[in-house]
Amino acid sequence: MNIAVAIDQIPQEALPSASEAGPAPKRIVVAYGFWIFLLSDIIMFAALFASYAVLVRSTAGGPTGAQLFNQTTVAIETVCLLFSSYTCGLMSLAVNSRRYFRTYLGALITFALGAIFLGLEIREFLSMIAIGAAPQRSAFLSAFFTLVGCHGLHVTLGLVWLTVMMVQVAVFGFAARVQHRLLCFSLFWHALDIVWVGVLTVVYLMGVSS
Amino acid sequence: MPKNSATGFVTAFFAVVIGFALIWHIWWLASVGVFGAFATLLTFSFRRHNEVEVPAEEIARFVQAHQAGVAA
Repeated sequence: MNIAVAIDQIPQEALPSASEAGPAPKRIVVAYGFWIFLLSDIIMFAALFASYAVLVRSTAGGPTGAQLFNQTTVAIETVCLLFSSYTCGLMSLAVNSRRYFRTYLGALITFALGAIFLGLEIREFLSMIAIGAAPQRSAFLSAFFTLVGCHGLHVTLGLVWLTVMMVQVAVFGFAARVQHRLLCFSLFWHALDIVWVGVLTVVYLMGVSS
Repeated sequence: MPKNSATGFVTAFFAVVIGFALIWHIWWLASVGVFGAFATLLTFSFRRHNEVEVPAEEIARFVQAHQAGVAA
């Protein structure tokens, strides 16, 4: 007997209708609301990606991506961010099992990796601006700084958020609302990671290969 | 139910300050706005009691008043 048949044979009375079961648990409602925010954020990034793709060849005689991008830096940045998503997942597991030390440790490693990413990105931006490849140089560079800078701004805010959440864990313990916020944070952090994979592909890999 | 809070209003005030300061390149005022909005949000997130319980009797009273209104 397959599963579909088995579910069909459950008497209908056994499953309460949605209205009888009462409102959805707060955890579900909070995560649902945060997903809507994330989707709006993704739409904004989609618009930035589209404008970058349109403007990537409009260098106005200035430097191109192939001349500017340092693949080693980008590789280290990518490793840091992807690994920080992993440690963020470990932190979520520690939160679920109410382990303080592992939560703090996971948060600390996530924060450190995010900070390394951000430091490398800021250094990259400053070195580009130092050789005259600033946002006002060409449409390509305006689009580049807007797209990559917007992602960097998200990472910065994520680090601030993570710091505040660790203070809240220290003050409130694993209260329900602290857990909800940590759940939202991990959704946010993973979403940023996905956006970075897009940035890596569209900006850096395609920029160097073409 | 979530408790009433002035956070939205105060944050919107600081958002207006940020917008004005950014348009006119008044960087110190923009940072005042950012820190103000952040501090407001932080205060909000550290409230210990952020929910109010609506007693069942009160809801029953509302429903009865509503039904009386519909019937009349």
